Amino acid sequence: MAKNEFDYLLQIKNLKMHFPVKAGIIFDHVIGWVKALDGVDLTIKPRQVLGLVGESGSGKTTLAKVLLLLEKPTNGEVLFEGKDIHSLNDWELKAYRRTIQAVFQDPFASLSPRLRVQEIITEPLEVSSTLSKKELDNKVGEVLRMVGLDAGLRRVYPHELSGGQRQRVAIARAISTESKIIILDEPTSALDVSVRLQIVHLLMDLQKNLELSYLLIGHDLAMVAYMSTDIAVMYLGKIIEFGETKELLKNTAHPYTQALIAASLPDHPRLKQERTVISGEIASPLNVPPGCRFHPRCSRKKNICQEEDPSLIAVEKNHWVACHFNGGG
Amino acid sequence: MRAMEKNALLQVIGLTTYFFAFRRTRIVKAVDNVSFEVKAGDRLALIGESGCGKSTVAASLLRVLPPSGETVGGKVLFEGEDLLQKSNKEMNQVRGRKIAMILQDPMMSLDPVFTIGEQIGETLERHTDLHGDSLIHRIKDLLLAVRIPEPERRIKQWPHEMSGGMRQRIVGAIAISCEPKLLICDEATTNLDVTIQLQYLNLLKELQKNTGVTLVFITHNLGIVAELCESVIVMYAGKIVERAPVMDVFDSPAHPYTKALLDAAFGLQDLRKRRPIPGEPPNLANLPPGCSFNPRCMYADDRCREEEPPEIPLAPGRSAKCWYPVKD
Repeated sequence: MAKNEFDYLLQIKNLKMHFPVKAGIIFDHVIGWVKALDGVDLTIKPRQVLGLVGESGSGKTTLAKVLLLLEKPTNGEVLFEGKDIHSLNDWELKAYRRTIQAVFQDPFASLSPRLRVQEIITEPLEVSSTLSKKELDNKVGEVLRMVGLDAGLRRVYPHELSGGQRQRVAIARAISTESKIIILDEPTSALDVSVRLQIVHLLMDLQKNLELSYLLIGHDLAMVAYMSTDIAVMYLGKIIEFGETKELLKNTAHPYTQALIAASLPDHPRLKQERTVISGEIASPLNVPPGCRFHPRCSRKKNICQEEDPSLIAVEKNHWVACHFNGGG
Repeated sequence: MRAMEKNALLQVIGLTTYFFAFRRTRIVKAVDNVSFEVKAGDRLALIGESGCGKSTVAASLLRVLPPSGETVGGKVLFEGEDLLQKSNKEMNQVRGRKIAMILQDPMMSLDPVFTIGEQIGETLERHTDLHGDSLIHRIKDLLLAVRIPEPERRIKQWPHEMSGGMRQRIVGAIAISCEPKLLICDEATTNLDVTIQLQYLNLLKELQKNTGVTLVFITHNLGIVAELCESVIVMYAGKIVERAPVMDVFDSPAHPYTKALLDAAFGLQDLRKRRPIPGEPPNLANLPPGCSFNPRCMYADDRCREEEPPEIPLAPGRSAKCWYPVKD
């Protein structure tokens, strides 16, 4: 997808993450593999907000963990400035960790209750930079202001803050290292309805002003579509559709994406419609169906779907789909 | 308050529930003088943010409040009898049998050390005289009713062997096992994936069609309200701020808070810029004077900051607790 190697920030190539399932107490042996990621190709470009949607168990969070170096993939590579992130030397590793940061779902769990806001924000900076104490203090004031918090809050502990304020602190920590990519794993799911949109708008403003790239993981398609420039749809460890947000919503090609959109609840009671709900549930990643992984739930499956796994094919300039019938048929 | 109508299944009158902390020096007014009624066969939505008191209303009806909570006033008339006056023993005949509830997290509502069959059977054994084969038969019927295939096999399985969607169906099967008159769904689909959520909502609709059960949805998801509710009650800071038929809520919300909630909701059919509600929900132990919503309201003036507005009727079945209800 990228013309040259400087077009992207991160390039994910054929990434696989298979977890062994073991049985036995003393002499354990592998009885199967959980295929959390099963050949993911994805590119994160500068200033891109890439939404990643899919049901629970589709591998979204595993992908985030691999990018954050929390899991070592079984296969495939993630290129950062032309080099695989899992074979960087110490110096490059520091630069990479400064570049990529994350904001998680639950700000009650992601902030240490024993640290003050100041310490939470400076912790990644102390590891990755050589700022003096005074410079660190200024930096904390600066990022707190950027996320719309009073600089006086630096002395308080997380339990003194509301959910929305905590998530702002988590965002402040993520931007403090002058990162380029932020992984947002369900950043607003734990927040109140009225606070949710404030955080979404804050993230959108920061993205514009700081020229950040986001990998936005979410299961709420409406929220992801609101924020993202592009959307990737994941099903059982694979990207099955990828496209520019407007194009993907307008000309949805994959039957699974169509089902996701159809299952979204209406904005207004007048817009509700009779629709066919896809039957069944997502298969276990321990037992990925052969052929197209969606075929057991697909209403349009034919013989070929049970035999051959379709790969991503471009249907439009900015729109790829992995379906034997390109969504038609 | 409207006069008692014949077909009102549940009438809540002036329900007031407080939580006490620090040896009763701090009072959290979780539910403050709430009145509403639910007609038989209705699908009512109780919406609002977390902490607005909607779940406490449900807990007060069933008298399952945590020890720090106490219903200090009001009446809960269910089929004409006040539930708040009943003895615990009498209440046990109501809970699960007349009024059932489905909670958000099925992993919390199911007991991990009992099989699915035992857990559905427990409710049936308590409230009916089914036993032996007829009990097993009824359990299998219930599993089929909530669309769980192969009931013979499932009946012997444990909660951990099932997916989240299936567990929530089991909870649904327990809830409908004694054919309750009223089913309260407290964020029942919040943890489910969208496709599974829609399957579940369709299942509830079908159950209502078959059994005539009255449904009350407690939710913050306006999509669920739009999808299947008929009337809506909006709560803010422990009080009802608006009540209206569902079309009116979406077409012409009368209370500024309802309007703000709608403006802040994401929708796939409309990706245009949304408007957030400024500020955060108030502290229930320390409410602002006047209208509780005034610090976040764009229409608020001095009157709103000093005097609490009454509930002003706008049309039959419609009212708003606001000095300046938005008119169309």
